[in-house]
Amino acid sequence: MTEEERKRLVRITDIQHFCLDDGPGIRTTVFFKGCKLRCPWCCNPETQEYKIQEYTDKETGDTKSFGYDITLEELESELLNDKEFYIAEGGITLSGGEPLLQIETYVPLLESLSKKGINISVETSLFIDNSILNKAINYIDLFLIDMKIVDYDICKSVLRGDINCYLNNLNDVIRSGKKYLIRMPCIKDYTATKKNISKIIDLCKEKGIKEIQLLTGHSLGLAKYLLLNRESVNAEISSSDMRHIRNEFGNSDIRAEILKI
Amino acid sequence: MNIKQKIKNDLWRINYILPFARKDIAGSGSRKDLLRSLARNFKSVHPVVNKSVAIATLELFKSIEINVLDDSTFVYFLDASKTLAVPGNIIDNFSIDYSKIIYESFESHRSNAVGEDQYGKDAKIICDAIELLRHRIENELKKGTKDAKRAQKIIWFERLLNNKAEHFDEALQRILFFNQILWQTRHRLNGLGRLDKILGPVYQHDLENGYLDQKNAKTLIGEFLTILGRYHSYKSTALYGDIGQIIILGGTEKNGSYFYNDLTKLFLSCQSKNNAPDPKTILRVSRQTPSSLLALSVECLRSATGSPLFSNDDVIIPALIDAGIVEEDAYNYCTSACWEPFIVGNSFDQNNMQIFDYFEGLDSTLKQNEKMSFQSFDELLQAYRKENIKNARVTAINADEIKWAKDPIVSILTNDCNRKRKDISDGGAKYNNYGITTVGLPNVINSLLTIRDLVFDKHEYTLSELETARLCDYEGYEDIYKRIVSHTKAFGYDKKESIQLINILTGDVVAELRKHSNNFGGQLKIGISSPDYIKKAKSANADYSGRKKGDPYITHISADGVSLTELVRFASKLEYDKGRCNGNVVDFFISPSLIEKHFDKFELFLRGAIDTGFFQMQMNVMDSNTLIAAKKNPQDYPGLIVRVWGFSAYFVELPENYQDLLIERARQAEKI
Repeated sequence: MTEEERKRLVRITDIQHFCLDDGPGIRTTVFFKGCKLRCPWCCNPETQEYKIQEYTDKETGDTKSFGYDITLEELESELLNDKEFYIAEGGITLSGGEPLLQIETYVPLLESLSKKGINISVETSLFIDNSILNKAINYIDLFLIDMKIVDYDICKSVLRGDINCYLNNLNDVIRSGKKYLIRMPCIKDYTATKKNISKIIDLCKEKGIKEIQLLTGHSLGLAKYLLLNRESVNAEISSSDMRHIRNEFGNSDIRAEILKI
Repeated sequence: MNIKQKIKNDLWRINYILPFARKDIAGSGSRKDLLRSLARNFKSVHPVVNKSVAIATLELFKSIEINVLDDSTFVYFLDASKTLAVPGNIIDNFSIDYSKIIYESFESHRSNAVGEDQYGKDAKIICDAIELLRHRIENELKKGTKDAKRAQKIIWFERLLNNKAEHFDEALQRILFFNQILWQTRHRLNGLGRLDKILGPVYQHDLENGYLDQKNAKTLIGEFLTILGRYHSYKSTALYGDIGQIIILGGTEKNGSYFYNDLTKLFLSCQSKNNAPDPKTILRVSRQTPSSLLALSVECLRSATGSPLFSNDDVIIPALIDAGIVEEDAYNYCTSACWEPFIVGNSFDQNNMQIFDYFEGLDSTLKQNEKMSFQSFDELLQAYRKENIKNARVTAINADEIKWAKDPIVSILTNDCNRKRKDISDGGAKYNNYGITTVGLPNVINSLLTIRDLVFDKHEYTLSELETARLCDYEGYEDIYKRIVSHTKAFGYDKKESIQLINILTGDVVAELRKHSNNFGGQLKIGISSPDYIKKAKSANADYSGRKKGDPYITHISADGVSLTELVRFASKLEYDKGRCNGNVVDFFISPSLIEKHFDKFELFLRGAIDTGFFQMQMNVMDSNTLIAAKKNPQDYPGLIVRVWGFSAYFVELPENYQDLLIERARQAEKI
């Protein structure tokens, strides 16, 4: 493979069609590999490391791997396969991992998809260089942004992220005029603490955010932790806790919707 | 000729019992169950035996018990203890053209039919039989106290044969009367046709004259569906619920516009509230189908009666024209009892004549490996194709061995028969084709591509090694079995290689079939859907798709683990021309919670799927937990309805192997 060809490869773990929970309409979601954060509850732990990870298939004993490289051309053609279904703002969603970390490589893809009128949304943590974000703003139609842990120290120690970087990027997204949707993953003992909730509420108020989606913590990623030989945390949360969080937001005039996968 | 065909053709004095007994042996297929069921039915169903269908019918209508229900707006009954025993097989799996007895008087057809020739003599007797039945009902109605309902019924029956129908309710009564006649004379799987289109003018007329409003119409349609749902067990054919009273709604007009009216919506919404497996609905859709109608159909799906099935005019109509159907007929297509396109009023087509099993040929080809020792995938494929073509030839020849019973009633109401003085069973209709349903293709595709990969590309095994394992049903060869199961599946996935292979194989079979026109000069056609994916597989060896000996073949166009959009894309790339139009149904499970949560998006999915170009599509809106619970505690789920092959049934009435397959498929769908 030539250097030129290598430059046109992105590293992903999966492409999923008929996704209904990742933005408006029917979407195809690409899961990019690599993320700077290490959220203990991450439901896609196989996307955290950039390097391709091998694991043993429990059923067959075969060695398989999480992650593969795909050319932009192949990726684009796979994403366009479902174009008949991308009506009413449906389209593609970049997810991961942190999908924007690889944006330098796939700008040509975004350009091509934009030209074809394909709606592009991104699930981003916003813990990325500001220059990367500003590149993305040119192409992205909808930002799906997590609000996880707001306290500087806890964010640093638990997620390995710099909250100031996040806040700076959040400002830029809001200022850009692009559509965005704020989501809070509700994880017992991590994000769903009294203190953190109240901080998130304050942040929403400060930024003029009137709506938030509350993602119900789940343990669907558990099997993947086992394959990776990694410890996992219990991310599950009760419905009464979820309702309580919703009410907290409601009391501050922020419309909160509970989502369950 | 095989023994089954001989019994059906020639042992007519006793074979009348088969349609009544068939459903009881669907599960076990055991001889003991068959004998028990036959004995029971011989005791309860008494035939009028006569060599002449017309005379037998007359005698039958003299003797059946007249049962005028007072609790319904309509008269509708069957005497389940009486039937016909006549020579030959009675045609079934079709609809008559009910508009002929609504907008024209039956008398006008009678006068065209009767005459001095044999056709005309039979027609006279059959018309006398119908008049006799009408008269007996009228007399019975006049016996009781005359309330308003009864007075109305008397008027309907006085006018029944000599006048056109004046009103919507009168039209419904006529449909019921002739439908009742068909069932009573042992026609099975009696469809109803395009009822929104047929009833549109009389409904509109009533609306404009203030005789009817939408609300009344809805009540009447509700009653109409309920009453057709009676005699559930008597009407069931191959399984309980396999009744085939199909209503076709909507549809593309010749000018490209999309037809629908108030009745389309009323029938759909009554279907969703009917809470019974039959009657059932097909919605003909196209790019022009309005969103409001799609939303209503999602609502209907959510009610979990298995209806509607979607039939994509944008794909089907061109395929029908290509198969030799005249344009105006193609635009007006209905279907046989499940999904096989059928031209109502012009057609004798018997669309479920034979089953072609794609695996049979692969099984015998693979067994030749011992002698031939195939050196390349291409060699194997060519041998298999030859075998398939040979089997197709046998299928075509077998299809022509059937003897049909004369059918004066249906002939009178079918275009061309009266003019040609030829009974429909002698080729009197405009179209006289036979439909062949097919099974095993998905298993064959997965098997072939697995062999290619493991034997000829990767050289992990020799074909002999695989064959030894397969013919032992993988007992003692668990490693090989694991390897096969873990192998990427091909059928149902949007991959060039599997799609090309399918198109080659279906092309081979249909080309061979079409070399052999049937006794009436009609052609043979095929489709990738069949009722027999369980029955046919019972005696079939294991294959390389992961199916073990005797387990069911993959259902219609379906695949475990594939996304719905990909499955639809796959289906849209299959070729349906050159006679490959005998029903091609994408079939999947979807959880009720998904539709609940994403109602609007599911409508978008339907829209996108129509644009992508599926042929037909049906689904079970059902989760595995409900099915598992219903299997365990049937008494708690008497009303649970599931979609089986092309019909809906009460889950608890299904044989265990059918229940298990549905549970497994629901489970697989939840993994995606």
